[in-house]
Amino acid sequence: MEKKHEGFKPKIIAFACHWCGVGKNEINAIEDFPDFKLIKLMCSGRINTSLILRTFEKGADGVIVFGCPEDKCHYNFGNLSAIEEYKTIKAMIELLGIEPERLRLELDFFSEDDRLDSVVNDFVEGIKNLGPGPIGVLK
Amino acid sequence: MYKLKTALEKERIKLFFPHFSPDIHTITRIEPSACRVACPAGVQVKAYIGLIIAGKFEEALELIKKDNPLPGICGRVCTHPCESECNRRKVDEPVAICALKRFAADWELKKQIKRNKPIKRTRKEKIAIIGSGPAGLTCANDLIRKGYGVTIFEKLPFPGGMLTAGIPAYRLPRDVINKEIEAIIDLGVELKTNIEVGKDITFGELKKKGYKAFFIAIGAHMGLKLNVPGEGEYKGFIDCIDFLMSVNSGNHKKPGRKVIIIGGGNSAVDSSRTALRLGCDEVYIVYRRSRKEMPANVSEIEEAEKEGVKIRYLAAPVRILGENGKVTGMECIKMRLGEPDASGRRRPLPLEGTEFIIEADTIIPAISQKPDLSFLPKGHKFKLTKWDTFEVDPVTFATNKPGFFSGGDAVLGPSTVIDAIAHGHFAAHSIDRYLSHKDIKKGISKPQPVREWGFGLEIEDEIPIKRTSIPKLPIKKRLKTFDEVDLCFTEEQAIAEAKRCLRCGHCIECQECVSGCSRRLVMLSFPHKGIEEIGRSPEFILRVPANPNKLPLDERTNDMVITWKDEKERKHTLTLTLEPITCFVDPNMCRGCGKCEEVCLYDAIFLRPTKDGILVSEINETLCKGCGTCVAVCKTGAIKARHFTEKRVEQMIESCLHSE
Repeated sequence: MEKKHEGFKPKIIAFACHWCGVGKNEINAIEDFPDFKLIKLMCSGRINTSLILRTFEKGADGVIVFGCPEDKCHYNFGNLSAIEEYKTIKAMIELLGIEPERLRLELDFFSEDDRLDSVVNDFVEGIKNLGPGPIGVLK
Repeated sequence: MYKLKTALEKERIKLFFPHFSPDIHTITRIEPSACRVACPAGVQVKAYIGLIIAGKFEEALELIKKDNPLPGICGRVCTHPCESECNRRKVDEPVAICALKRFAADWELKKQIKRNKPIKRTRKEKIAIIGSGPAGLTCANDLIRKGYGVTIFEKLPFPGGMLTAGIPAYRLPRDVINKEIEAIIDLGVELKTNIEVGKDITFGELKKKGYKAFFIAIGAHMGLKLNVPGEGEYKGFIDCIDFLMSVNSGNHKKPGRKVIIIGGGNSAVDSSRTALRLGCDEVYIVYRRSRKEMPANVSEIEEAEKEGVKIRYLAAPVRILGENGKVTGMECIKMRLGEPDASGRRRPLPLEGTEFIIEADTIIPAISQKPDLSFLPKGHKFKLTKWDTFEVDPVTFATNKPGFFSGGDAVLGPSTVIDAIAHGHFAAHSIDRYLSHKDIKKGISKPQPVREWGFGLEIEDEIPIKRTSIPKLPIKKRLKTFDEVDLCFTEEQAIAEAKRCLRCGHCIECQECVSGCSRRLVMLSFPHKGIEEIGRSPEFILRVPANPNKLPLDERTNDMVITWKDEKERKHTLTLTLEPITCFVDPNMCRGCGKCEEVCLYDAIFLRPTKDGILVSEINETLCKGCGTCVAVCKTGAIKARHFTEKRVEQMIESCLHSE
C-alpha cells in the first residue's frame, strides 16, 4: 500500500469558518501545510451536500471542514447545521463509493495548542494511505 | 489562494474579510488630522506631506493651492498653528510643516511652471474687493474661479497689503509676493492700484457701475497710541507701519543711531531687524511682559538676538523725552507679572520707583494696529466693535449692511496671514450664496474639533528623529542687505523631514487614487446616506466599487478572468465572479423586529419608517461588510447575503485545485 502511492501529493480542500480560531491557533496557518488549500466561508454551516460532492468531483482527494465548538457559533446555530449536513454527506459519499475517511468535520481544533497540527497530520496520513481520490478528474 | 491576494494586502486599502473577491475595497480614514483642523484655512497638511514623501512636489503644491492660494508667502511667514497641534510633538518635535510648504512653493518658482489661464466668466455679477492683502486676494481667487467678475481696489501703489507694506524683504522676498499675486491676477482679476474707495470713488458710484457685492479687506494699518506724555511731539517718533512701509517702498535711509522699539509682536521684531539692516548702531526692543508671553514667532526673536538686537523685558514706557523738537530718550518703568488676564497672558503691573531712562534718537512704537476707517463716508451705518474693527457674523462674514462683507485684519485686528486667507474663503463662499439668492447662513461647515487626537497612534513606539533645522543665511552676510534669511530645504532634506509625519488617521486623503484611476472608479464620498445619523463609530469608510457605473448593486457583478500556465506550458483560465460583499433587505418581508440592528457589528443597519409608517430595517451599504450575522438572526428571512453564491464557491474550489 505504502509503495503504491509513493510520491503522491494529495490535494486537500479545507473549508473554514471565518470566526473560528482567531487568536491562539489562527486558521490561516493551515496554508503552511503544502497539501492544503484553504477556502474561508463565513460559517461552517455554509457547507452542503452538493458543495462537498462538487469538490470531490473537481479532483480533491480529501475535504476537511473546520468550525467553531458547538456553543460558540457566531451565528448561534451555524455549526449545528454543519453537523447535520455532515452526517448526511458522510452517508451519501459512502453510498457513492468514496471512502468516508476522506471527509472530516473538526469543531474544536483550537481547544489545545497543538491540536491543529495533530489533526492535520493525522488527516494527511489517512489520505496518503488511501491514495488519489476516486472520481478526481485531474487535468 | 488568488493571484490578486498580495496586491490587495496593501497597508491602507484593504478588504475587510480577506477571502472575499475584490468587488469593493475600503480605505480607512479614522478622522481628519489634527494639523488640518488646527489650520484656520483647513489646508490638507497630511496629504501634501505624503505627496512630498512620494516625490510628487507638483501635486503637493496643487493640493495646497486648493485651500491656500498663497503657499510661498504662507510657507515663509505663517505662524503655523498646525505645528503646535502636530502629534509628533508628543514624541520629539513637530514636523516642520511650514518649511515643507515653502519647499513645495519654491519648487514651482524654480521650475517656472506655466502661467495660469484666465477663467471663463459665467456669471454677470461683479464684485468689488477693497484691499489687496491676503484676505482680498483669496476672496478674489475663489470668486473668479466661480465665474464672477472681480475687481480689487488698492489704496497703495502696489498690491499685497500688509504683505508688501509691513513684512520686510529679508523675511518675504518681493518676487515671491509678486509671482503669487500675478498667478491670481492671471485668472482674470482686475487690479486697480492707487484708488481709495470712499475718497477717489464712492460706494454709490461703484454700485452704479454694476458692483453687486463688496468685500472690505482693508487690513489694520493705523498704529495705536501709547498714551504717554510726549508722544508725537518730537521728531524721531515714527509709527512702525509707516517706518516699515517707507523702507519697503525703497527708502533705505537710516532713521537714527540709537533706536527703541516698543512692543513684542512680529512687527516690533521686524522693525528692529530692519533698523539693524539700515545701519543703526544700537537697537532696543522694550516689552512689558517676559519672553514667554511675547507674541512674535520664537525663531524670529532668536534670530533678532543673534543679529544684535537687545531686548529689554518687563519694561514699559512712561514718558518720551525730547529737546529742541527732537527725541532724546525714553523714560521707562520696570514691571512685574500679575494674574492672567482675559487673553490668558499674565498682566504686567508697574513697580513704583523703578523708573529708568534709555537714551535714543528714534522711537518706533509697534504695540498694535487698528483698521483705518477714514474711508467710510460720514453717517455710515456699519456696526463696529470698540477696537474700530467691523462687526461681522462669525460664520458668514457678512456685515450688518446687506451686500457688504468683511474679513482679515479689518475684522480681527492685527492677526495672521492664514487667518486672513481663511476669512477670504468663507467670505467668498457667502458672497457666492448671497448673489445666488441662497440663504447665506447655510452650507458652511468649518471642520469640527474632534475629541482626542491621534486615534490608533502608538506614541510610545515611535522612534524620535531629529527635526531638520531650516538652513539660514550666515549672520555676516545678513546685515546691511535685505537678502532672505531663511533658506529653502533641499529635496533630500524635505523628503527626510516629511517622513517624520506620523500620518495620524491612516488615509492621508491625498486623493491621488481618484485622479490616478483611469476608469474613474474611486469614490471618496459616501454613496449611501446614514453615516451621520449613526455617528457612533470613529471610523469612516471610503468605498471603492470595482464597477460602479451607477448600476444597482445586483447588476454590478462582473467577471474577472485569471490565466496562467502550468509546468507543461498549458494555458489555464479561471473565471472569478465578483460579488458585492453586502447584505440586503427585502422590505416586503421585514417585520421591523430590530434584531438585526442589535447584532450588527458595523452599525450598518437601522430601522426607518416607510411611507405607510411601518418600521423596516435598512442596510447602509457603505458600512455593511457582509458578515451575515443579520442573515442568521432574521426570523422572517428578509435579509439575504449577496455573496457566497453556489457559483462563486465552486469557482473558489476550482481555483484552489488548479493553482499551485
